[in-house]
Amino acid sequence: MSELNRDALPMLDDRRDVTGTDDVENLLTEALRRLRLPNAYGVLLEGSVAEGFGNRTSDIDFLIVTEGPQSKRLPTVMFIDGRRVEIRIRCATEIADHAAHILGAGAGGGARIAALSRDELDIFQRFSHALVLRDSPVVRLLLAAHDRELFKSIALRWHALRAIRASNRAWLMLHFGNSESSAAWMRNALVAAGKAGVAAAGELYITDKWLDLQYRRATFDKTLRERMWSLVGQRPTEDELTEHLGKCLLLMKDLGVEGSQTDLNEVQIVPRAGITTWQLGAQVCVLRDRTEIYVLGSTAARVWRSIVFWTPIAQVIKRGRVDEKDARECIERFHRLGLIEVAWADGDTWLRMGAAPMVLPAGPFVSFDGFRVAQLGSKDVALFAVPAARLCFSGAEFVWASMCLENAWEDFIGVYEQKHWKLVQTSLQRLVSWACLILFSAFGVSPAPDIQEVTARIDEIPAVSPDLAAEALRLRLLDCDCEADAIAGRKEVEAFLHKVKEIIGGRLFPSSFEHADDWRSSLEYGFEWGRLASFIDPTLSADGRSFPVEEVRDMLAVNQGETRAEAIGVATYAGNDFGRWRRGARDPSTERDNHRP
Amino acid sequence: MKVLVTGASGNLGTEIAHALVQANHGVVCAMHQKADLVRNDGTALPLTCDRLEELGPGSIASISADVTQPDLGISPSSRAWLLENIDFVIHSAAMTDFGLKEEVYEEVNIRGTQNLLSLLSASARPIRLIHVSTAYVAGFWDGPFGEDDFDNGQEFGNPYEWSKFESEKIVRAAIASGLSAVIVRPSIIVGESQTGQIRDFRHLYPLLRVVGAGRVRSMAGRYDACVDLVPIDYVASGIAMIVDRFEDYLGQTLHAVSGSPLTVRDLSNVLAEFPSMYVPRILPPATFDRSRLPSLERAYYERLVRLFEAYFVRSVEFRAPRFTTLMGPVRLPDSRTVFRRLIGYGLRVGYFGPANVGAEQGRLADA
Repeated sequence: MSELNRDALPMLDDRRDVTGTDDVENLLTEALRRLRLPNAYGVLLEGSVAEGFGNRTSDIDFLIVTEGPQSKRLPTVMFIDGRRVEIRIRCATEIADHAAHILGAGAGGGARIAALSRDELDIFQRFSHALVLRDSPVVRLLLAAHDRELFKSIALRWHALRAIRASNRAWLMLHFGNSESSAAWMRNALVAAGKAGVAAAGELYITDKWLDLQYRRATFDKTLRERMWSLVGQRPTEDELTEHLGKCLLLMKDLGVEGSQTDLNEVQIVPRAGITTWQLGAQVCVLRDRTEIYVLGSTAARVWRSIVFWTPIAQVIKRGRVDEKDARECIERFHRLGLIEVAWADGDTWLRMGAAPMVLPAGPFVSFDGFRVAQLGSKDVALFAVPAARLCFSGAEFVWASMCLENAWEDFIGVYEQKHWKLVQTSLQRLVSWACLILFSAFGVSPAPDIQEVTARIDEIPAVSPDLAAEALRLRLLDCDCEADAIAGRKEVEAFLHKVKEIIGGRLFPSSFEHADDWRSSLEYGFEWGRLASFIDPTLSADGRSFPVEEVRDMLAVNQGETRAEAIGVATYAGNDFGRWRRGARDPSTERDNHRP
Repeated sequence: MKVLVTGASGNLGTEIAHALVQANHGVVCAMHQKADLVRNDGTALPLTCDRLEELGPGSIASISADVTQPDLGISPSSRAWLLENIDFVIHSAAMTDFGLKEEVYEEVNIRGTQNLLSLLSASARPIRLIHVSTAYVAGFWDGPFGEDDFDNGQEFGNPYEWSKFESEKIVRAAIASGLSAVIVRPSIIVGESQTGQIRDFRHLYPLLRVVGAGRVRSMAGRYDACVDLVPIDYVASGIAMIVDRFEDYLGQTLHAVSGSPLTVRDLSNVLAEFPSMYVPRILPPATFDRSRLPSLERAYYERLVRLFEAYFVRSVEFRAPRFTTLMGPVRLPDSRTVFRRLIGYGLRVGYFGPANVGAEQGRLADA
């Protein structure tokens, strides 16, 4: 591979501002010295820095293209001059296969595109938009195969489908009378529609978090940006919700996204695997996965008995012979508890929701360093009343959410220094969401609610006071337009995090992203939880959602026998890029947007 | 080949007729009552010939017949034509409903078969017979029951089973006297294997309806008792195939069964997957006393459930190597899946409760 001739680079376009290129060069030299990689075809800089979104705290992401024999699932992390450097190693054939897979899905139409995971698209986009630092004919051939025009149409469609699914869900929550969740899902739909809008203008970076920068950079109707942030920041009352959702649909349409379904007659109740119904005397009991049993009150039982699968919700509500509002409430609860699924009438849109909080009055019992047992005597042997799988998946989710919290904090620092107030706003909001997810995990809730609606649901945890729940909702919509807002917002969010720490009865995670030692300790906790979860269920699938325990398993798999990283004094990193190499269909509307820059 | 199908307007009979037409045979449908032929999926099976003389490959005609009458009550001209032209008779006419007087079964199932054999014996040329019996001629036989098993001294669960045993005995005697025949014994015929669709909700279905709705909460039975459910499409296509491979099975008996029986426990586990379906209590027959049921429940029990009690206590295991060989690569879905589909279908079309708007979508999604 040859040294970079910057003038000859076809990929550099004038929109990108890659600051500190010399630093990058120095970091690469040092990283390559430590790694001593044979048979590399080339090196590229990818991710947020290559994209022009980098800041002081951004990771430097290097991609090394090798002959093979195979790609490394997870990147190597090193800390050089205080900068965190991630090095991914991918073999040329895997890069080519991956590109063919993505572009092939484009030819396959909507269902194939919707089935692509965010990770898969992200991998393609990062490579196709990378900066070549060490060039070679192989790298050029690979880049030439990454058809950006075709990818643009795929990414646009993918974001649009995601927006439609999230807005469908918002309307469903409206019908269920759950206005906070409805508004939360619609916010998610607007952001996805915004991503579709900027994608149409050529801004293809997949992750949501730099959307505002993409808006600003794109040749684009700027009023759309303002309308989006204005609607995203609103918290409509129950009476205002229908009108608000209508406005959001109009904006989505202006962003080029149409096709949302708003009618309960278009939503069907469908079976969820592992759910059975049993009668005990007059009592109706619903069993889940032969491990958990739910006892239904008389109204709930009547509504439950009226469920016929593949029937529109509106029809089931009528059949229940109970008050319509009660019936809606019951069906919403069944759905939330994961006892049923719903599908939109087009047949390919499926929704899943998490399980009910299984809260022990004794308080939180999961933490990153083990279980919390109140007054555990030195000779006690305590039995948990909560199933082991649920506890252990909660632990793995706890670790995961903590890492994401750290990542949001790091982003906050970076964008604060850049005085980019909209991004300060979103990173503070992300901090609040991840803290709420940590709360759910700490109370053994697995699978936890979707990240989009965790703030709307923490009032379900008894240990969370109504005030704190209200604060979460408010902070999730925190607005930030100037430095004073940022300072005030940071103070409030820090106070919120402090209260969360108090409830879970311990510290949050080590500062994983700043120092190698902290990172190593984060990983160790992750390994322990992941190992336990993988022993309980080797397939590591919690409620059909393979996230994040499967990623923890990957982390484990890679680290076993991975002595080279140890030898050169770096930890193998599996942070927010967990599962990057994994292929598999997920519903984009439920996918967590938590990728590293 | 020219094939006469008795009981052609029945759910199975029509499917057999259709499978024969598909295989390019000429089919004469003997029907008790003048009616249009309706397939299992609800579509019409149109008659393509007005007169028997027009019957050619892949065409279909009908005659009026009543198996309880001498010569099946067929007109002399039709009779003459049939005896001169027909190559095969598939005898699927039978009284299969439960709970009727013994005389009805005797008249239709036993005398009907006798009448048919008398008619065939009047033919100067050999006419081959495929006799549709039932696997439940095994009665209360416990354990394996092979395709060559017949009279093991078993007792019967109801007059229907007895009448089918007796009619099969007549056919076996005729075979011993030189009749070219094959006997096919289906188990409990249920909906189509992929969709669960069924034209006539009979036999097991009314029982499932009453139990699923919670009208009868308790019944006598054993959780380890076995029930064999076989999809209608599997049976119909198998019988039609025998026409082409008749010589391979001449004088033999084939079990048209799923081969993977469901235990009563399996059945109730699948019922539990449907929120609106009640799972019945299965109580040991020795201690179950139906007279102690609440009055409404007892009425349902007496009228319907009692007729099926026999199916929920026995553990007969049908062996079917011949039929499996005949079907070759055709494999049925797992029996639980079949049962799940038939319940799902019944729910979607409102048989097990009110009809649903989304029925068609559900059918597609399940398929």
